[in-house]
Amino acid sequence: MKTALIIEDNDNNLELIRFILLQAGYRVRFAVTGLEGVQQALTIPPDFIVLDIQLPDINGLEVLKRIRANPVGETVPIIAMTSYAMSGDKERLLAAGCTSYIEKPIDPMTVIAQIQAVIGKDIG
Amino acid sequence: MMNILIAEDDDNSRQLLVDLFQSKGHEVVSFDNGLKALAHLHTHTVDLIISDILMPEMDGYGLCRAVKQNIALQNIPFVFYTATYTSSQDERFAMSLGASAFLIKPMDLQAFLGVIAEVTKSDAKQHRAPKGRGLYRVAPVKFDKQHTDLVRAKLDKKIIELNQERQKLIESEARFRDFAEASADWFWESDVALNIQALSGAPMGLGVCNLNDIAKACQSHLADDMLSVLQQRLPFSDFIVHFIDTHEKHMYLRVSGKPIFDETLKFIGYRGVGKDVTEMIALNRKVEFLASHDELTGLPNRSVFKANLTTALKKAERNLQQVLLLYFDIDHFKLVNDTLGHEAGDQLLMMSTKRIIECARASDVLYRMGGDEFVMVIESATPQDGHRIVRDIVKAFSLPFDIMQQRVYTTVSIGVSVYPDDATDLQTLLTYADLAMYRTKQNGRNSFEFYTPNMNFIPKQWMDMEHGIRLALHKNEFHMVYQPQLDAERNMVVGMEALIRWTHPDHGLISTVELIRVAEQSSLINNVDDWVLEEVCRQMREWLDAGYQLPRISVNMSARHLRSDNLMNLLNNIPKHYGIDPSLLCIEITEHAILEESLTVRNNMQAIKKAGFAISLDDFGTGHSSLLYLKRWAVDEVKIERTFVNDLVSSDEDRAIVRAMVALAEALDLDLVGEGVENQNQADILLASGCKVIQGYYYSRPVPPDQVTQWLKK
Repeated sequence: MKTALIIEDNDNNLELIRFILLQAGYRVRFAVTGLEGVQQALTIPPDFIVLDIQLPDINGLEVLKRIRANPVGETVPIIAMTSYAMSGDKERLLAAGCTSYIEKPIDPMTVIAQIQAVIGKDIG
Repeated sequence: MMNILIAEDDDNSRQLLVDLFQSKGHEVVSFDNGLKALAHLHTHTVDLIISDILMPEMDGYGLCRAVKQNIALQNIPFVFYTATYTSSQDERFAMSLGASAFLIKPMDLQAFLGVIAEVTKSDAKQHRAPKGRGLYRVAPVKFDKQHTDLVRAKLDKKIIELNQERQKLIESEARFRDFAEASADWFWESDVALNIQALSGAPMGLGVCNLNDIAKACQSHLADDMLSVLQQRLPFSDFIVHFIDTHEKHMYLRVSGKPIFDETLKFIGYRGVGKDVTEMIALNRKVEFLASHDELTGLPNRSVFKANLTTALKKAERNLQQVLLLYFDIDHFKLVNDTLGHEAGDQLLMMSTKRIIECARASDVLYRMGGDEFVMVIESATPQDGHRIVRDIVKAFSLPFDIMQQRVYTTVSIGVSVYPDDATDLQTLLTYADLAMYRTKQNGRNSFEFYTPNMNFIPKQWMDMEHGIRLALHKNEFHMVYQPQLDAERNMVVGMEALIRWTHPDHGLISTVELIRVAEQSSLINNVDDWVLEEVCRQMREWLDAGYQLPRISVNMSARHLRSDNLMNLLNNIPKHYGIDPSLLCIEITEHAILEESLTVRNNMQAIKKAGFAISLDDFGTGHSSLLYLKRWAVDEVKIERTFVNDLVSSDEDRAIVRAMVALAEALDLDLVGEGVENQNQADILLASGCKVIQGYYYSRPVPPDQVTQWLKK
C-alpha cells in the first residue's frame, strides 16, 4: 500500500485531502508544519507528498528545497497545492523540484486523477 | 508368715500375686525371669515358689528343674501358675519335674489360696505329689469381681496409654513425612567413602556420584568449604550444586545432609535430602538480569553503567590509560515513535543497538540509559580509536532501517568525553559527553563532537542551576547591589532599585537573567524573592540606624510569587520585623505578572497597595498591558523599557512612544523612570521628552551597599 504524506496546517483542508486519499486506498500520514513535514519526509519517506504552500513556519518552497536537498528526498513525487495561482509561483515551485501542482480549492471529484497522473494508478 | 518367691514376667500378673500374698501377711520377693529367681534362692531362705512357665532367660520348667536338682532347695514347694501351657501333657511334664501343683490362670482367688495353703501344709519332704491328674488342679473359675475389675482397669489404662502413644507416633511420622516431602524432592545416603548409594526419586546419574564430586560443583559456597565440611564429617545444609544428569541435562540441586555414626560413634556415611532448584535459580538469574538490564535491547542499564564505569576508571588510573565515554542519541526517534507507533520505536532501538555494537570492539560495552539515549564505555583506547569508532557508528546509520515495511532514515548524534583529559569523575564525564552530544544536535545532528571546555557554559548556567540556587541560598552566595534613580532636573537620587547578584565560588559571577529564568521555573523563585526582601530590609535598617535618610527602594517580585497565597504574609512581616515603613518600599512587577487576572493576583495587588507599598510596573509597553491595568491596579510608577531607550537616538518611532508615555504618566499622575540609560544622548532625549528620572550605566552602574551611602543624606 502506498503511503502519502500530507503537509498542511489548515484542519479543514487536511481532513478533506486525508479523507479523499484514504478513500482511494492510500495509507496517509500528515504533518502540520513545514519543519515537521521535512523531518518526516526525510526520516520515514512516503511514496508521495501532498504539500500545501502556505505554512505557518517555513513556506512550501523552503520545504521543497530542503526535501530535494537530501538524497532521501531527491525523487519522491511532490504535489503542491496553492491558492494563489500565479504563473510565476508555479514556475518557482517546479524549479524548486515540485513534481506537480494542484490549485485550490481542490475538486474532490478530480483530485485523485490529478495525483495519479503523477504517481501512477497503482496504489501498491 | 512365709517367704514366698514369685517368678512371673508379666508385670500385671506379678504385681497381682505380690499384692495378694502381701495382703495375707507374707514376705514376697518377685522376679521377671527364672535366672534371677534362682540367683535369689541361692542366698535367701524361701518357703514357697510360685512360677509362670513362659519367661525370658530361664523359663519355669528350667527353674523347677534347677530347684529340684539342688539338694538345698529341692524341698521348697514349687507351684506352677500359667495361662499358656494348659494341656495335660504340660501338667504331666511339670509334675514330673517335682512341682507341687500346676494351676491354670485365671483362677478363683480363694481356690488359689486354698491350694497354696494345702501345698505348704504338707511336709515337703514326705510329700509327693499324688500321681494322676486333677488332685490339686482346680477348674478355672471366675476371679473375684473386684480383682477382675482391678486387672481390667489396669489393662484398659495401659491400652489407652499405648493407643495414645501409637497415635502420637503416627502423627509425628506423618508430620515428618509432610515436612520431608515439602522440603525435598528426594533422599539420599552415602557410604563411608561418600559414594552416594541409596536414593529415591533423585536425578538420573546421581547414584554413581560421590559427595566430593558434588562439592566440587558447589555454586552457593566455595567448593573448598564444602569439601572441608565433608572431611570434618559436619552436617551441611542448602548447598547449591551444579549437576549434569545422564541425559546431559544441566540442573541445579540443593542438597543438605548430616553425618551418621554407629553405636561406637564410628562414621558410616551421610544421609540427607536434595531438591531440584534449577527453575528457581533460573528465575533468580532472570530477576537479577532484569534489574540490571534493559528488557528491550538486552543491554545493561544505568545502574550497571555506574558500577562498571567506576571500576573502569579505577583500572584506567592504575594503568595510566584513557577511557572514552560516548553518549548517543537517536535523531528523530520521537518522530518515528509518534508516527509509526511504539512498536516501530522499539524496533528502531533494537536495530540501532545492533548497528552500534557492530562498529565497536568486543570489549566496548553499550548501555541503555533510558529512552533513545545510549552510552558506550571504551576502555584502553586513544581518542584516535574513539574517532574511528564514532565515525563508523555515524556511517552505520547512513543506510535506512526497514521497520514495519517502512523505510526509516535516521541518524545518530554522539558526544564524547575522555578520561582523564576532560574529567576524572563519572558524573562530570557523563555530563560532558551529554553536552558534546547536545552540541552535535545543535550543529545539525548525524555526527559527533568531542567535548571541549568552551561547551562548559551550559553546566554552569543551565544544567545544575537549580541545584546551585538552592545551595547558594543555603551558603549565602547571593548579595545585593543597588542602582540609583536620578532626578536629572534636580540632580538628586530619588530612588534605588535593589538587584540580586550571585557570585559562585567556582564559576564566578552568574548571569542574573539565567538565575531568575531558572528560579522562575520552580517555586525556588519565592525563596529567592524572600531572601531579597529580607536582605534589603536588613540593609535599610542598617542605613537608618547609621542616621541616613533613605529614598524609596524598589524590590522585584516575580509573577509566580504574585500568584502565591503567602505573598502578603511575607510583605507584612519582614519590613515590620526590621521596622521599615512600607512607603519606603516599591514592589516592582513585570506587566506579564498582572496579565493573569486570577483572584489571588487581584487580592495580592490590592493588599500590597493597602499595606502602603508603592507599585512599579517594569517593562511597560512590551506585553499587552493596557491603560486599563494602570488604572485598575493603582500603579504608582511606570518604567520605560530599555529597548525603547536603546533606540531613542536612532528611532523616531521610539521617541514618539516615549513622548506618549510621558503624556500618559502625566495624565494618570504616575511616576516615570527611564531604564537602561547608557549615554548622554539618551538622557538628553528623555529629559527633553519630559521623563525626568533616569536609571542606567550613564549615571551609575549598580553598586554594593558600602558605595550607596555616597548618595544618601545624613
